Amino acid sequence: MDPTLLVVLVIGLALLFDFTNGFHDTANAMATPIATGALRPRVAVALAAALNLVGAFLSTEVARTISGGLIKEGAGGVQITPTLILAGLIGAIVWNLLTWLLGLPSSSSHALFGGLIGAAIVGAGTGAIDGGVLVSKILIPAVLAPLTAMGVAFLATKIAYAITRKRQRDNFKIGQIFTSSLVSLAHGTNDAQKTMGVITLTLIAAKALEPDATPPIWVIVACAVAIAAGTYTGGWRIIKTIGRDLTDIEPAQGFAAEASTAATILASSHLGFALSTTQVASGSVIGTGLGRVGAKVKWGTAGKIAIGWLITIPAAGIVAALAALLAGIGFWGIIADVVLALVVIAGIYLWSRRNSVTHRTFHQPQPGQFVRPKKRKAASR
Amino acid sequence: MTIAWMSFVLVVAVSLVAAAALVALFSLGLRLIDGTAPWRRPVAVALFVICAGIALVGIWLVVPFFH
Repeated sequence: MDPTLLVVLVIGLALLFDFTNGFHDTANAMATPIATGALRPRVAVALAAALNLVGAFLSTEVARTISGGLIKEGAGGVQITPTLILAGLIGAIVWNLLTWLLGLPSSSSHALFGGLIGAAIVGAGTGAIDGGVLVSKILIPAVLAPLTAMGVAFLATKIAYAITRKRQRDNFKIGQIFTSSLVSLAHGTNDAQKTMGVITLTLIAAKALEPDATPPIWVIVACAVAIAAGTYTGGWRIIKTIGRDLTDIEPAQGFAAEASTAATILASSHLGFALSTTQVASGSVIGTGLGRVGAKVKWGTAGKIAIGWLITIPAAGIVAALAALLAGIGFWGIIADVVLALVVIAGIYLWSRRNSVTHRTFHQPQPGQFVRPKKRKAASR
Repeated sequence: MTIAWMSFVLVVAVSLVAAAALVALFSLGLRLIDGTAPWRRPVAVALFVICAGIALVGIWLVVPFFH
């Protein structure tokens, strides 16, 4: 098929993935300040979007390989073609939307890796996957990330409640704004550049860029805007899961949780043991629920989230594998792929309208603020 | 397949210390600012300044341009 059209389709899907990445991960930083009322919902997502936009411009150093060694790329392995990337992106986007519909915080990078794995297996068999890297870089960290964050947040919460008295704890809301902003900024520097990498490597594969080129400015701008727009859209379902459904969060807990998330993510990204932001953030919230006397962690919700993590890679992989099979037909296969993906996306969106969760779900009137009384139905006798 | 266990232990130790220190300093600040003794306020402000310093170190770590 016409390589230009294919590259355009891949770039479009990559930006769509970037958008889903943004709204999937708003909750990591902003679920706790929204839950405690430290920030009003709309203000929180606007702040997160701005920080993601800034973060995307601050870090444009993209990876040399699309999968970080997960797929044996180049000589002796599988050639990462734009078609394979297209199928992988479809798998990742569909899974991201499905988990959003269910309100599950799941790692967008895992969805992307899963998609690429699925597509690569169809293209070149299971030999294309480096099992060792899969276990040591994805599976083991996926178990350790939430456990580490739980421990750190548990201790931080205990400290916060041991030092402060009850009437002083409302002021933790001010601290929450700063710790959540830090998590947001870290997310922007980390995640927008993944999509920049996908687009840049696609352009290199299509010979539109020199090998080892840095992302062109329009790629940086497009990725930054896509992730910021996604973040602003808010992914309110996931915010509700982390901020409300896991455990009840007080300001001191929100501060402790977000401080733990920031500390764990920064330590992990600078000391050579990468951990998923989403998994760290969810672990922190559970840890802070365990740390406050009287708070209850709803383990049913935690279990659902864990199952979501467990099946993220295979599920995105299966969707991508189907897309890759269809794309194998040729031109019309690829067109059918994109059309089907758009139909599924529209379907998930329409399904989500059945019980919409928006920023209004989190409306918390300030003390003393006038609240418009709900209209009563005409009294029936 | 090699798992960098030493790195992991280091990550856990550093995150525990950093998060605990930040939360302890901020909490202590909140505790001290809520009182009448004249020495409490300046000490609390100093603690908040240290917290801001830790946050700045965080930003420094986040932005690759700085290192």
